Amino acid sequence: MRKMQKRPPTRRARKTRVLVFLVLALLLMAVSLLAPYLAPNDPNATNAAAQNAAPGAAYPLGADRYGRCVLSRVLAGARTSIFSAVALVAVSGIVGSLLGVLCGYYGGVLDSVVMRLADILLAFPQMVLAIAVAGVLGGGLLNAMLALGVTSWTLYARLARSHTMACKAEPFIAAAKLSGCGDARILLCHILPNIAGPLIVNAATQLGTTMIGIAGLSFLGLGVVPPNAEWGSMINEARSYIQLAPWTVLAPAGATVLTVMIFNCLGDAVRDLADESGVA
Amino acid sequence: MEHKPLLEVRHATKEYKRGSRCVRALDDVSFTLQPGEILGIVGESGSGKSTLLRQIVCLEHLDSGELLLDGRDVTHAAPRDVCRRVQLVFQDAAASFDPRRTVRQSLYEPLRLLGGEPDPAARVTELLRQVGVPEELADRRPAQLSGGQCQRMAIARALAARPAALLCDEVTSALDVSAQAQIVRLLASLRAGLGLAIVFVSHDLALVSSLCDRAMVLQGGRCVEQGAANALITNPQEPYTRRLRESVLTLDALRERERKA
Amino acid sequence: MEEKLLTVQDLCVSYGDGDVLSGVTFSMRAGEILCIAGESGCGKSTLLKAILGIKPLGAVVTGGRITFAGRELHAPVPRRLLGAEIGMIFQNPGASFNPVRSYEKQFRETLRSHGRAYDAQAVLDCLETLRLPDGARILKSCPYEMSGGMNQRIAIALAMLLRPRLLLCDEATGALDVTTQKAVVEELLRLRSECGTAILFVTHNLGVAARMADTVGVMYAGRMVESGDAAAVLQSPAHPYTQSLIAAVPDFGGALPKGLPGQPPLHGAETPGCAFAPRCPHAQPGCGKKAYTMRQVGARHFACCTGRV
Repeated sequence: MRKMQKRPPTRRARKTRVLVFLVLALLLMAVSLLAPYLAPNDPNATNAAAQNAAPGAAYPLGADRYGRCVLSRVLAGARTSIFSAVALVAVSGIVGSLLGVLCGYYGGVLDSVVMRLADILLAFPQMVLAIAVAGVLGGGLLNAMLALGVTSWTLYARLARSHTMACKAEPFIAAAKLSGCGDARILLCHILPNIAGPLIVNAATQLGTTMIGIAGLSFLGLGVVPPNAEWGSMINEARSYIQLAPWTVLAPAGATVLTVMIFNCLGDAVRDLADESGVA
Repeated sequence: MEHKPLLEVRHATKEYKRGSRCVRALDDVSFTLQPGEILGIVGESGSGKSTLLRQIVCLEHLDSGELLLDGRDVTHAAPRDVCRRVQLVFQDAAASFDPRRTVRQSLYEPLRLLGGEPDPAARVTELLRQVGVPEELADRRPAQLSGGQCQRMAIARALAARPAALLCDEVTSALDVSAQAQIVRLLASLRAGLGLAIVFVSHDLALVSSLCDRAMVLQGGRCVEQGAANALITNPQEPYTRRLRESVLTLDALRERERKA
Repeated sequence: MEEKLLTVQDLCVSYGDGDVLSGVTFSMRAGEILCIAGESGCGKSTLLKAILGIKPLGAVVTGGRITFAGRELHAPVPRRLLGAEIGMIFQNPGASFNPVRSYEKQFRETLRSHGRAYDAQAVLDCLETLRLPDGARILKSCPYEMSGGMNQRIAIALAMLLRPRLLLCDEATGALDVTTQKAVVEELLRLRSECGTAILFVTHNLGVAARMADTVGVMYAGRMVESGDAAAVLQSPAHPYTQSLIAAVPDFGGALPKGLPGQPPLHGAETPGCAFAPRCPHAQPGCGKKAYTMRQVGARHFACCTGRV
């Protein structure tokens, strides 16, 4: 009567998946950090003789219309794309989460003001608002990040708020109060660790989206200013030469797709692991 | 009056807003608790038992009425101000521990924060001995303990503050009868050993009568009967008390059935 | 010998790293109420799940057979049997209904799916016999509006309408107040007397068993350690474990109930001998090695140990 049962992926399998994508993501970061040493050429050096040169020995991924090495520029751009996304997610995640936790725990006027502000910001499509803000602030990577950050904190704030409200009704919070904990200790030592799971999962899934956001703004000319290398601005610069020198577009586009996919898969894997452990 | 009461609740009233309606959870409830006394509070779910305990430890505040602890008015105090004198033990013991910490970490918390413990580690060992759980279990997380073990740990944490009174909110109703019996015996021995006063909230009149000196019956937020626990079961005055008494299924039910047959 | 409604023969269920049930054997007549008592973790709930053919994740039936009304039951149990012939009431009162659909719709659905007609008057009469006030209003409301005890009683009403031959109750009164518990017990007794339904009631409280059981089985660590007529088992318990369960039931005698120290083993019977030996007040050095056998200790009264050597 012994029967085999189909089981969902084990915890071990899920952990392995997270680990695989984490290694890939770290590898990407390492490559972007080591870009100056890995790049075969100076990313900003022009060479009139190699305008739109096809991939070859000197230029492994070809050269653009100024004769700059595409591979070197993709590598240099990786640093901008990846680190600006990670930094933006980290800052907006921390700020949003803290605001959300405070709102959820104390409620009252603070809660009403912050949440209405979040509602107003969420009423606009994120990219449209970001374009408007970036337009006002002018070009530059920092301004593009600010433009995206204006809305991205609201996600964390709402998530943190709702989890905090659920958590603060738990008996263990009442028990902590009776153990002599003050508000600060309850927030930092009891609530935050218990709601961190869903927040981390949210941050992991947001990495890819943020990268696309920054590349998108740069593509529109609202992000990184030429001649600095960034994937979005590279695609924009090269798009009129797509028939003449397709590699100038395909290389940064491919790099974007690959990176975003790896970070999205990492986010999914983290979420699956968290779902299974009942954290999120 | 032989003692100054440890705790005195006068005309406690509390209302909750549920949608547009106001629900009166506590309606003019008054009682006193003497040092070293075990007071039972009996009632069905929704009778206001848990609400009453939450008000006493100041997790919530009364709409009207007074709360006196050692003769001092604590009606509007914070949990931190009263937790050295009264402690609350929750019905769901596992949920009353931070799921991400070991029980030992949770036991250290009151010892560190409420101060006055020269050697917290030794005190934890002593607390665990007092509630009768093996010391190695303290390094587990609440989810890894059985219901009875978890409840003992919760009692240990409540004792950490060296309170004079322990409020027990349905501490046995989620447990097996054998674990329930052990917890009840533990409470009785704590009273005998530490002179602890206990408020024991339950819906089981038999359990209350075996443990408590005095008992109070709550129905819909009102106190319908109050008196010596023995008198309450041998000679209930109110029909509601009588109904509660008849509802308890003891082994006598078998004899009754045989008599009827 | 009379016809048995349910026979469980040598049932073994394993979770891989240990047996939760090992060699559980019992039988029930039509209309009989059997209470199975034991602490949490003794395998009572797994037993009910095995009868219904519901397997918790990772559990495998490693041996034994279950016969219902002369036919052997295999997982998955045919749909026409579930509900109509074998009903189930869960410990969690919310588990029986969809919380946001009115009772009327759910009653209609359930009766239809078992090929029964929905007779509004019959439903109202049924609620009436269970002394549920204002049946028409109840049917219009949704489960989330009702208290746990009310939900449990309505679940019994539905079970009564389906008139199953066997009703399985998993700690059906465990989460309820004493007054509601009493009402539920009385309703189950009424269900038995009106429909002749046999009830297999799993509980940790022998007080409930004393009120309703014809026969009582006591389980410890995945094994039946004592079984027999309710009067015999409850008034002259043979097994030390049964004695300890009886001592733990609070009564009005004024004495504190006695609890058995220690914990039941996590994974059923780990040793071939008596799993109860480590907690047993009468344990002898050889107890852990003796083979498990049920012996007759009285008329229709069996136990695997009598505490005397």
